[in-house]
Amino acid sequence: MTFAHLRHRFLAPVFGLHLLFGVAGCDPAMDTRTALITQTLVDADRDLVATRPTLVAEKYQVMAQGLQPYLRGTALLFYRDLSRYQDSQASILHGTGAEQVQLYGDVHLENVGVTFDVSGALLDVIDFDATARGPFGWEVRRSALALRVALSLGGVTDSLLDAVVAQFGQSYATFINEQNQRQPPAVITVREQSETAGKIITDLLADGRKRNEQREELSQYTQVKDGVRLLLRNDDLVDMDEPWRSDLEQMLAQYRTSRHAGRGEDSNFRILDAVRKLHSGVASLPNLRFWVMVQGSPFPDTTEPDAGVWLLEFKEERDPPIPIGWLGRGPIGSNGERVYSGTLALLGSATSEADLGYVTWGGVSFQVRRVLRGRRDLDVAKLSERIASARYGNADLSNLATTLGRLVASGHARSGQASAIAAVLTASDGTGDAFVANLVQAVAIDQQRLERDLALFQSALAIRGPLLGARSN
Amino acid sequence: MKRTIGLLYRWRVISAATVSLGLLIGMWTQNATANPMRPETGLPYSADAQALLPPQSTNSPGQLQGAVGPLRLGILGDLFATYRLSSRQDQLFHDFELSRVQLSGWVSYESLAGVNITVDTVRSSSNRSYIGIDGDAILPRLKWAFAETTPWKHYLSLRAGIVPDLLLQYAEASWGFRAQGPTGLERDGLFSPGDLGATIEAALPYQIGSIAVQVGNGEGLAMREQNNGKNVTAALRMAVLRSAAPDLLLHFLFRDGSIGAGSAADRRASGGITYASAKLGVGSIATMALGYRGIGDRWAAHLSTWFRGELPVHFALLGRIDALWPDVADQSAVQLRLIGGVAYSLPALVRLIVSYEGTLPFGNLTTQVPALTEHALLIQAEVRL
Repeated sequence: MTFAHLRHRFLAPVFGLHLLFGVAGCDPAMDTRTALITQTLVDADRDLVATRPTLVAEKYQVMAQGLQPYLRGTALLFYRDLSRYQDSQASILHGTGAEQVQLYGDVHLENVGVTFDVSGALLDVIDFDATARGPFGWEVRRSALALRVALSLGGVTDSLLDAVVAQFGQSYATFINEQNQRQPPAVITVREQSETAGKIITDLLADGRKRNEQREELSQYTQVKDGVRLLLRNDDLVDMDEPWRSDLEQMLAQYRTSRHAGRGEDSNFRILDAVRKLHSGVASLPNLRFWVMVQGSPFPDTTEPDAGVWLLEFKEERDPPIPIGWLGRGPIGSNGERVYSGTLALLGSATSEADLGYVTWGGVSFQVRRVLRGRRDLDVAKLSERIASARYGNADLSNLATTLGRLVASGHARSGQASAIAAVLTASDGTGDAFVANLVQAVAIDQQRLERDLALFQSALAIRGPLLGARSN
Repeated sequence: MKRTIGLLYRWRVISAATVSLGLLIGMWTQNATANPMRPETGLPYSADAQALLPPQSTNSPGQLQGAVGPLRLGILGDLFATYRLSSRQDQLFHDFELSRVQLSGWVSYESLAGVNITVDTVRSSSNRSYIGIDGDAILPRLKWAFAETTPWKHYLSLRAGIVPDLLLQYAEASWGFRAQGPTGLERDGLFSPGDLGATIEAALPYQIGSIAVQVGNGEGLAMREQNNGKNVTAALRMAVLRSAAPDLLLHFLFRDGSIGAGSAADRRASGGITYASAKLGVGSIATMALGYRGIGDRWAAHLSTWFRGELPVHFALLGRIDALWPDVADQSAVQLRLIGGVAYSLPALVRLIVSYEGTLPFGNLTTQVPALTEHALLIQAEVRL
């Protein structure tokens, strides 16, 4: 069936071509939005569909399970919807001096969590896979949407959701305006003791600290067998394929040349065991992840249990969801390098992520960092339960929005020009109130679109099969 | 019974097709003239038009050709070296770039059939990819690779393989400054230079033009086929002054197409005029896109108008305006691209071009990111074989 749209049909007789057209194949069973969703997702996963089809199918299955995983898996679609040539909903505040801010890339709640520096646990973004330089407005909109979506799953009313988004926007604008005159901009470090952190964040930091103290990554992912500590083997942790296992020594050596805290001593990087980690993440679910257990502490203290046994993760980094080709200079370095430099530019503490590094091996770009069970994220399912059970009240949600707004603003102020961003935020009314009002309205519409998209995606998956009809050869 | 009728019907169709093919082969004469060196069309000029064309100078491109027995062979090539200074997205950036190396080799056999293989260069990472081959190396790729036959004098041409687009090459030939950058039609995502498929083109009587039909995958040069739909394009070209000016053409084109795994509509309706000669090129092409950049229900519009003219002492002027309405429902949202420059031809092989290119958004496009505004100065050397 062709000429699926009635308003296109008049062209056939105009050109006298009724008989010729019948093979173009615009799918009449698929509305145009579903076609766009399908094309956007399949386009990005094309190579993975050919090489790791079961993992891509698993990713789509996970995405179909709810709004939060769907949000996580569709950053690419979000940025496509907000890029040039789209509808009026794609209007984004931007301006001179604020077009090339280092973006976290995808600040949804499950990418925010606990990290550790020399002073202990602190709140920060903990996943920088999507980091890139671009207009700050994209990130504000995406972060606000992610916050709204997460809280809506806890049964929060629309009016309260709008109020929380407004609080987020206000917090962002206020912090940027405060930094406007400061050079260098202040660094925000939110710790357990911070009075303004709010209950949700304080609970999260306490949970992360405890797990880190207990070194849960060892108790959860390893076991001692015949006096030797080895990584577990189960559905999630499987033996590494060749040639990766054989090349691991060389990959490790190359990684150490970029390691944030320096190359370290050889004695601290003796490989004890290695596995491939499966079923992690959503957008990055099909990506390669290798967990390597090494002997020796990277820190000078030798008081750690298990004589300094620790875990490293090699995580495949693919292209970011942001349309970088339109942003100016195009590719610079590898994806691992992009993530590494973006992370260092945005980290809330100069001494956190000491083991961060990158390596490109066998044509695959990896980020390398330490595996820590204490690196807890804001688990949306758990948060929803606690909101529904009234453990967290309205004030806690407001505090969360304030903290997140300041966190995002702090990163942008450090990597961009706070004065330029402030000028853009206040351009229309001199106060930033219009920015907040527009943000609330736009994000509410974004969430409606996301909910509709999820239904379309679920339907497409049911009709077109586990790979959305992508060709796998 | 129904089955028997069906089989009889099929047999008749097959028989008719076989007889037609036989007739076609019967009409195959020594007057047929395969024209694989011309990407615009497989149809050669008519004998009348050929007689009126100015003789090619020895400095014209495409002179590297010869004969081996019944075969004629030729090479066409060009190389564009670019220095670009641009202001965009808060960045003032300047770089040298080898913006294209293109090499066409063609062979024709006794003017009955021919082959064209054209290789150009691309950056090996796509515009969203950080990893290409050997970083982001410049790589050769097949741009066109088609077999061609002209079985009936200058009246009919068949092409199959990676075949050139039915409109874009006419626009390029008329614009004449591909070195400056792709035409607006290509840059704004309306047409791709080639596609895997086949083209049939027939000359209309009295040298008034031709009609062509192309069937292709629809995914252009960069992608394998993603869906079962095939693009069908029909083009009508009318030489309003017939053989007196065979390169003054009115174009009408309609493409029914789909793109991507989601089979999003990707239709085009274009109309315009082009004129191309050695000293002058002028043209204007208007396009409606029914389905644009993967949005199947989007109506977009585009108008590209250009001129080039040779001045005394080997100088030439060039100018172009591309206007894009990415959503015709919002007519105030327009992207305007302005190009103006001057060229100087060295005695042989090389042309130097200095041009300004500005991209300006209006209406809602001013609030969209990445920002559209760009100003660029290009200094280029074009080498043509």
